[in-house]
Amino acid sequence: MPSYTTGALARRGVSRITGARDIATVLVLVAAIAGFALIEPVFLSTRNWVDIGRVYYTELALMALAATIVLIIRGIDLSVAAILALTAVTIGVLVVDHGVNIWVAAIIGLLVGAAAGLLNGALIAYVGISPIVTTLGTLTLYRGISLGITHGRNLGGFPASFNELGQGTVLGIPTQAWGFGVTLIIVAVVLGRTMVGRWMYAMGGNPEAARLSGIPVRRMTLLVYSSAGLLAAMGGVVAAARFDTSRSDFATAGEFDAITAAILGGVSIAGGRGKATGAAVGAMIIAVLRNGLTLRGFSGFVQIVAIGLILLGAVIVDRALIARRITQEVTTQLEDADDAEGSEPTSPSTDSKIPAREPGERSGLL
Amino acid sequence: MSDGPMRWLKRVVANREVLLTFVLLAVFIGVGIRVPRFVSRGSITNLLFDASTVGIVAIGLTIVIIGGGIDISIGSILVASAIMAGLVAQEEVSPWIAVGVGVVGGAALGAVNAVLITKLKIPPIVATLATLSIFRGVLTELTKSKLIGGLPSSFTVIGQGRVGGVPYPVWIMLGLFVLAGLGMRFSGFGRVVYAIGSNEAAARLSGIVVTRYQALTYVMSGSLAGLAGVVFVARNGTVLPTSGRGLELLVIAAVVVGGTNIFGGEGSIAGTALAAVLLQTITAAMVFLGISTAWQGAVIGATILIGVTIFVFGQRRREREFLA
Repeated sequence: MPSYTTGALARRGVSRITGARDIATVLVLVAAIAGFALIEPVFLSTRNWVDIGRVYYTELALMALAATIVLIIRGIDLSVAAILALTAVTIGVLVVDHGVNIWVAAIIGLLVGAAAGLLNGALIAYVGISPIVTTLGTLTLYRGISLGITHGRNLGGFPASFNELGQGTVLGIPTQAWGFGVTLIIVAVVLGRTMVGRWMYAMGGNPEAARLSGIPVRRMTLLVYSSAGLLAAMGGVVAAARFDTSRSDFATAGEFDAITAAILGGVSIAGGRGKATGAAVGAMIIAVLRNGLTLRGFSGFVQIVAIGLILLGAVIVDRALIARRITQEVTTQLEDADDAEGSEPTSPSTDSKIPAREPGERSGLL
Repeated sequence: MSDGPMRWLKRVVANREVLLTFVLLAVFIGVGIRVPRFVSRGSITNLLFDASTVGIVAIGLTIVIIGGGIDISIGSILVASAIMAGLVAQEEVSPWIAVGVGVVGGAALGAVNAVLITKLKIPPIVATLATLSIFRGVLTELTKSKLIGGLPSSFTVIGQGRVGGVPYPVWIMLGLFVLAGLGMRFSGFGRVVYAIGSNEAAARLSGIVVTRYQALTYVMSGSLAGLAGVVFVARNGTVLPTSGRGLELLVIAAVVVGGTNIFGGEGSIAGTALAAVLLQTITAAMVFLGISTAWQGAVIGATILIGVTIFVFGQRRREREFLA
């Protein structure tokens, strides 16, 4: 009984906090934009925003979406940036070394990305390796294959019609930003309005309950990781088009930025919580910070410090919000209920409820 | 099930340390037959020399992971400590002071992680993801105008000197393997760390101050990464802002291939030691076999996945036997 009440309260608390958290994320973004607009006049210019959409945002946002859908099912994907690079060099090798038509190569590249994600999913769902270990291994593997098939060469020189995907604009907005917008809507609708989406949140909230209630957990895991692979692969296509070349070191360490963007956007590392739009806003915070700091002449090292500090701040605020909400709810509940003597006082922190680990059980709370 | 060889094979597969030893021997024999030079004293010494950075850092991470945590900021702590130690060593002070600064500096950064994780209750992977950026960024930005170089030989001897033909870093690594291995196996501290990692709630209910021990594991991990940083700068004579990037992934690879459960509670320093040497051996073997170094990453990645897959199957079999 007490544990049931606590769970229900925590859920109710969490749903209110997600609202507050979303607002906080947007406020951080608005503050960053306002700050840079005040100190750097160029910042608000149309040209700079095209730059943000092209150079700083779209590829990161696609990887952040990939990281998000995986985090929602209580997984983690460290291989998204490696898949991006693998897709880009697949296109490069096919076009430059084998003379394949660029559009055919692009489709094969996307399929390779989805297959790479599928392998992640299979190792996790069917072999039973934990997501972090699996994707650490495949991160090394996919980067390694990218380097191996290119031998460190730059493979490029694509047709101009293809490069439009990364360099062109439609109605003044970068082509790839349109692509991301459509993708974002699809992912958001799947997460928020379909059974697949509800199953994903259920898997992240309580994997065991999800399995027992008949959700095809293994097939869903395959679906989610291969979708993540496909999203990252789209980033690879965009990157190849943007640079008019492909290199195996594209988006090095991009997995960290992608996960940071997701967490900034309110996606829970412990699974079951987060939205696609949150990840899009989180990625925009990082893009704006990087662009603004670059305009002010700050080095990449200052940028990563700023991103790290904002990440810490977001998580600390998150914890505080959850703790306060739950304490409030519990206090009200205890005052209302007569049979409160039997129940333990509820700890305000939710994180200490790590259950006893069963062999092979996966937990997102690493 | 009475067929002997299969059963023997299964038993080998189920014990991580035995399995790793066999694989290591197999690689040495296999490559040694084609390139005899590979099993020479010099080649093995070089291999261990190259494994020493990952090896020393992996000891600390093994302890953290056994305790149910994770630390991905180790590569940044290594670089930060290397910079601190290098700057001090340049001043021609006693090399011991430089070593102390590096190790204590690393411990202090580990303590920052510990506070974020045990006091502010931030999940370890998120906290160390943030400090991964912060440590490297702050240190390199603060010291960007100062080039590290021209270190006195009294300091560089730590990374370059040899005893009995074997470089100091190798001795340091081997010594720490033995010390940490015995400590985790036989000391009260080791038992507590295993207990926390396998069931944190039970450990807390049995009166263990869980957060104190968890904090200690991050400080230990930090100081070992700091020591590795000292050895790194002493060996290379300089340190670049980009040094040690991606090291965390290699180190985690060594730890999990070594059989440590990523969720805590099981694992051993011996497994980590063997895995760190094995991964370096495979890299070196590729060089000796004339395989393009471009394929190194792919082979290492495949090794991680195959190693972990074999282990997972071995573990499942043990569980089935246990339940039957």
